[in-house]
Amino acid sequence: MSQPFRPPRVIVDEDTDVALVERFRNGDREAFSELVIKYHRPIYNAAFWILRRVEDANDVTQDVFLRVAERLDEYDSQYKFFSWIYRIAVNEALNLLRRNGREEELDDEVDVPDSELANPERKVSNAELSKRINDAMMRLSVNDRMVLTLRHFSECSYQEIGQILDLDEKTVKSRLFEARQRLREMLNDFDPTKS
Amino acid sequence: MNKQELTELMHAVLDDEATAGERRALERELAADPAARARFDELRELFDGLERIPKAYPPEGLVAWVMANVNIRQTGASRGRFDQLFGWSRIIGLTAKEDRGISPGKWATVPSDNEHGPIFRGEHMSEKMSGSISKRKVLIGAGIAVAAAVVTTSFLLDSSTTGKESVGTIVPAQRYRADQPSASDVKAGGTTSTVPVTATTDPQPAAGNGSQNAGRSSDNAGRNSDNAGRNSDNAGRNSDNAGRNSDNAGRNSDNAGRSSDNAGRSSDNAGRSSDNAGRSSDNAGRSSASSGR
Repeated sequence: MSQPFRPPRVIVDEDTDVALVERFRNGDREAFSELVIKYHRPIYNAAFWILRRVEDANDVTQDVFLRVAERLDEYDSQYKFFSWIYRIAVNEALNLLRRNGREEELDDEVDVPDSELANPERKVSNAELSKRINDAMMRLSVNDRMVLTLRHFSECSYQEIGQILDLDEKTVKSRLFEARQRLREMLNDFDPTKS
Repeated sequence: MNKQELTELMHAVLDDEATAGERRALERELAADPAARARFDELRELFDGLERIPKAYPPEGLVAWVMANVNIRQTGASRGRFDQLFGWSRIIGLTAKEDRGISPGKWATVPSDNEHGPIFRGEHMSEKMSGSISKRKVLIGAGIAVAAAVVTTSFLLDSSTTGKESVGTIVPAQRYRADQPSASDVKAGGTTSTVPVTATTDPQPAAGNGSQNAGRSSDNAGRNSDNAGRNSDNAGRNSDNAGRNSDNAGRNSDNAGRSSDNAGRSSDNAGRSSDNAGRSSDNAGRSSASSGR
């Protein structure tokens, strides 16, 4: 078992976030710019995997930061800033899904960064596996996509996912487990070697 | 540890959420159970695959767009409460929303109404904007209707004035006609009403002069007769013009009614009223021209 466990998660410097929030509250626009630069990609990514459409993800990301600027006085610094902003993003995305009334056609327009496929030998297999997982993810329910996105793409802990989705950790753990089970079943259904 | 518990433990370990004791327990299970080891390896492959899914990258300009638009919100947020009570927050919101329409995010695709969400109940800007627009439309429509009514009213007043002016053009003709000498007033060699000074100041009127005067008087009588005829014609034309003005006034009244019913049509009616005003003006001009003759 060479690498049985996940690599350490990206460390979020919460102290820096709180300092930036405080500076913005005092009228420092540059501080808000730093927050936007820091979080617009993960927020966009989370929104995309919930909404599955790049246009909607962009809209939600824009609206999230405008809301953050409007509602920053409501932010309670006892919670992590990124949990708060993720919560806003998830709610905005869910609101948009409700407004649309249904889940739209799947959008496969994912901008694949070159760095992800830098190794030529792994390029084909990784791309193929990524496509299969991508297709399977796209067909999961929004609740499954949400927990998987927060866990695997945003690298949130159970506790953080619980704060974002307003769930207890046990429920988060259960939902993640079930979502992965369904994902595995879908991957098996899509596996060309098994068909 | 049954299979379900072992699988959940695998997930917890791969999620980096297991304690050190749980990890050791899993290591023992995997070492003792090759099938569990195979399941764990398969699950780890799934986790690795999820990690390798390419990230969705936001379009360029998103940060710049946010920073450009957050200024507007900040301006609104920085106003005092008193200002907010009487301010133009919805207009500011509208501006922000319109800016989104030109953003690369295609904000315009988002429905303008907001189904209430779990947190931001009833706070969506587009919801406010929608109401604001409908109110504005009503206000604009009402404004157009009022403007059309004012134009129509002023035209009606102007029409009646024009009618008076039509009568006024008759007045000089009547005055002129009233002073006309009749044929019986003309006497050969005598004075005429048209040249009384000559008649009274010339003590020796010559017969030739009398004959000339009689001829002139006769000519004048003829001209007066013609003028009387023309005046009569003018009176008839003025009467026609008055009738047309009356019709125009009726049309304008109808237009005013239509303007009240529909703001959009009011604008057209105002245009018709303007045309009618132009016709009336033409009529008045004709009347004036006739009077001049």
